[in-house]
Amino acid sequence: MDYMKFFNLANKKLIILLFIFLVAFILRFGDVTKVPPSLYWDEVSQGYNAYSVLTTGYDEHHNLLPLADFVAFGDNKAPVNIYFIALSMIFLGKTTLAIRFPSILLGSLTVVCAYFLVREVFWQHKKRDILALVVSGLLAISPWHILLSRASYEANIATFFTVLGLFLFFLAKRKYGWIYIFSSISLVVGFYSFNAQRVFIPLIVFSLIVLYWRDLLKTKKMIFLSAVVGAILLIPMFFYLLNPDSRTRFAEVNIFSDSGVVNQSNTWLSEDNNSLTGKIFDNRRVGYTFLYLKHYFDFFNPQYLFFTGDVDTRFSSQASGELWLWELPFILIGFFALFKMKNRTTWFVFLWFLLAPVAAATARETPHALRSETYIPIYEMIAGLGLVTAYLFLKEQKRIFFYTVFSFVFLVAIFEGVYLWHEYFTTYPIKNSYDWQYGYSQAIAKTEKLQKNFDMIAFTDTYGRAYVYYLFYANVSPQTYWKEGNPTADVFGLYNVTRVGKYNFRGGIIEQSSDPKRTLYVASESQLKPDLRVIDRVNFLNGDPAFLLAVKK
Amino acid sequence: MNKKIITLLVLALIFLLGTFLRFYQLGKTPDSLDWDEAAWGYNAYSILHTGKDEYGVSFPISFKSFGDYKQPVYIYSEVLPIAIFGLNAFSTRFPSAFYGSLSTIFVFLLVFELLYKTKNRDRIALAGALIFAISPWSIQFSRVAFEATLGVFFVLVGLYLLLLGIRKKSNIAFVISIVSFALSAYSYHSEKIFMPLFIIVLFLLFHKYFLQRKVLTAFLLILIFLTNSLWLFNSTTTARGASVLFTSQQTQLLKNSANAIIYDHQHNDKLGVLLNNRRIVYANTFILNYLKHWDPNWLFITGDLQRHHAPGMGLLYLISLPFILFGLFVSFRDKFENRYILLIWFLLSPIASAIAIDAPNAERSLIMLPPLVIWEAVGFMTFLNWSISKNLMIVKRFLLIFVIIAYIFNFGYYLQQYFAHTNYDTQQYWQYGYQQAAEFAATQTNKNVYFDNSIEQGYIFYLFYNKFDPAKYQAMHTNSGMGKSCWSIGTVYFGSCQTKVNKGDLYITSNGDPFTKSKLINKVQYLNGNTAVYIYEKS
Repeated sequence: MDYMKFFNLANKKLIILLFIFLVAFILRFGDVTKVPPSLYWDEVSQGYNAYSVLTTGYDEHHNLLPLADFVAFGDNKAPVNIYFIALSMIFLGKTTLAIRFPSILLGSLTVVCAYFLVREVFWQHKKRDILALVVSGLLAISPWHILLSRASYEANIATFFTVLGLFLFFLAKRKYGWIYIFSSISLVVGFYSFNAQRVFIPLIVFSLIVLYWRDLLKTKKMIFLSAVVGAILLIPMFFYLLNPDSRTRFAEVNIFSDSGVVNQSNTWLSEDNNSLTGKIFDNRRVGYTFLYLKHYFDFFNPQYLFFTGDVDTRFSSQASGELWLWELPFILIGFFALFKMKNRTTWFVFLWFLLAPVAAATARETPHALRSETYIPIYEMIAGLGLVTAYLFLKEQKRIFFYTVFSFVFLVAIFEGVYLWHEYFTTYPIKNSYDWQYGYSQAIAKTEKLQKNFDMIAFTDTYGRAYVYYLFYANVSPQTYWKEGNPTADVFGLYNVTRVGKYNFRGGIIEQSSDPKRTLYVASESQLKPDLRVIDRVNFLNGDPAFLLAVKK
Repeated sequence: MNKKIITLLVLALIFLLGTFLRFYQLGKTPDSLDWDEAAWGYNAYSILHTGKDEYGVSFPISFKSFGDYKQPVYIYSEVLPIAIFGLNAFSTRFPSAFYGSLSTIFVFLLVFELLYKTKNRDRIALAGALIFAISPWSIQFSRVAFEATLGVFFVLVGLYLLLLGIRKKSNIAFVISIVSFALSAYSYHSEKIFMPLFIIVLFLLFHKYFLQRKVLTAFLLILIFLTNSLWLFNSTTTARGASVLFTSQQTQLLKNSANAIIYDHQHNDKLGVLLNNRRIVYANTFILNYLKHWDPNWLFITGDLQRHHAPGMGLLYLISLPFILFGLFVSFRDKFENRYILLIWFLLSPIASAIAIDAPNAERSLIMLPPLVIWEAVGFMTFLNWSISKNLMIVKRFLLIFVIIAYIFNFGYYLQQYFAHTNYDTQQYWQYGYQQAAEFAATQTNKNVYFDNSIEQGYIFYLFYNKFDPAKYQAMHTNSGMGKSCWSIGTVYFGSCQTKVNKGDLYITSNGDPFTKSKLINKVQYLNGNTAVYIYEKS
């Protein structure tokens, strides 16, 4: 089928795909400014940097149009999402929705791209169109993907460009060689979107070359051209990666700095009197191999995959797994069907599956739903394959059997869906507003109203990164911040800001003896001493106090 | 003919290897008995000399012991080894090692029978026997007095004879098969769940055979019922089983659900009340517990309790992982005759462990091992045939060499971890030091000796290591086992006796001095230098 013919409103598949897109968009967009209840600090930081770039051309650290990274908190954020947010702010203003919109939109478009990717990847499959629709539909309702599309996550943008780039690769390979250039561009953008993609994209590109080198040789010129375009686009990143700053974040979170392995190895060596066998087997390298595999296998933890998801409530509602439990049998059947095909598609899908957590497994916090987001399309692809295979198989069997199985699966699926829906929209924001740094916007609105009457505002930093919330919600212009802010880097290269104009940001006891008489205090409950009088408050959604506004008695 | 002899020779070598790995330093690694092991040993010793258990019950079907009502097969299996080798760690652990070693042969026979129509079945069967012989999971439980090994053995025998009976139409084989299946249930609790389900499935799978032979089938069903009735209608056995179900920990399990329902009622959320139902918590818990037995970290990297795996590794060799999956795949791709038996075996095996507390549990799910071993054998042999096939490819040879080195390395790593580190790293989980304390207590005939409750079930160690005359013990004892109040065997006291300790009495504890200013007269240390047991004299 030609793509010219595909985009025709008489085409049923297009109508179904549009419907799936609509469902995906509604599930990602619906009530997104209330659930999750507030912007967490990375979202606000991205939002403020986007605003800064949009209005001045410089980021918060006064760097002109950064290409490889935004320094932000010193965590060197990937640039793509920030520029998308800047774009979205043109239309939606400096709002919560504007910050989340790129993730929502590209998340929904990933669902569409997945359709085309599956169609190309499974080109030899008899039912490739149905398979592609099923996978697209599964991705649209994937709890993992929905939740990550409902906040401004770089990973979600990266997943879009990865799926798009791979689709364009297969399209180019099958028919239109010139599209390789766009595939290359898309994958490079993916590379610029998220840290984990800096590992995944080179690995998957290498896999593609190994698997399809014969096809690639057919269009040497285009391949060469795409490689050159990709290489040119990577130049800023190349210089950035040479810079030691880029590695601090990795060093901070990786498992190979864990001294436990070395200590264990030394203990074992001494238990066995430094014997030769001890030196071979109780070697720290063996220990690190086991440790890495442990973190890698963490991604197959059944509780994580099918019951409560990531322990971080920002990535999972705890009301469902990352995948639906009812998908499990289809994933298993899907693997069987995949290996039975025994062609290059098998190996492509399987390699993607194996490579997805390679980067994320080097970190201490595993399993990590965000850093392994590249898993989602591949899990849904395998589950979709299983679903289609099971459907075709059961259709040939006795009808009663077919109906029993599928109605059971359908009931479980409905139950799981309703359960998540209910939990996510009723109790999730209430239970977890703390994790979303709830209350900053309300607290800052209150202090801004009162600030004329005070000489200083001592604002709590116990919830972290208070300054950026102040900049964002108090509409502080970047120029003012560059003049009045005092960002200072610590030894790890992370920035602290303790003062912007009248505002001071404090971690410990909120009151200091040198404070002027007319000081407004905004503190968390534990920072407050009884000599202050509370005049107003902002609570977390579960009723616990978040911000207490107080003055001297 | 020649080929047969070679196969048998290789099998004999594999059997010897498996036996060696199970009997080498048996009783010394791990170097102490835990309380259950000591209880198995002493009850068997008691049966040997008096025909009664420690409570004076003649030839029980279920042994009260600590109130956990131990199953009979292990204890009766110990009687002979104890008669020959005396009462010690070696003889106590002998049945486990013996049945574990013998299982190797039955894995061979079972694979041989399962793959009756497959080419090269003798080689696959040999591979299966070898993999089982060196399997860390099997060796771990074969070297300690745990009943799980016996349960697996009798299931292997039962299934083998059932298949043989069907192929040869042998009624004798069926009868022995049924008896063997029943013995598995008398060996270990897990098989009480697994075996009946498995038998039902087997009868369904072979329904054509059995429907044609209605008399035989009726006879076998009655036999199944009769052979299992002794445990089925024994309330102590079933009560013990129920006490370890996860549903017995209701308050903890349902805490979240209960809170959620209260919240839903407050907010008049009818859908919420429906969704936070406790039945859903039960279903979720069961499925999660079940799936935890598929967790690759549990299987290949960490294992569960320290007593269930060698230090620094999981239950299986890492290199086994791809071959297990590949073997499973091949068995379906090539439509092996009995592929469903293995799959269903695998799927049923974690159920008993999943309905219990503390899932995943390597002991309760040991029955999961044989299908994994057989798939690994199938996968490995398929790989081997592929890698030495005539189509010469350097990659294949390299892959083969890599795999062989990986197996050797995994095996070496296991031997190193198990034999060099088990005693150092796990003594505290094997109640190390109780033996020394018990032996010391027996030498203090002129003083009162008190065992603190921190020396858990200290009395059984005292009886075991001093070979206390069972007849004498049965006659004198009033309150042993789980009882926590103060009681004694002669001048040696157990239970909560702190208040009765007088000046000059000895007090044995694994905690610090309870009386302040007592004289520390002896202590037992773990190999890692920490103290296992303190012996104080009250002053």
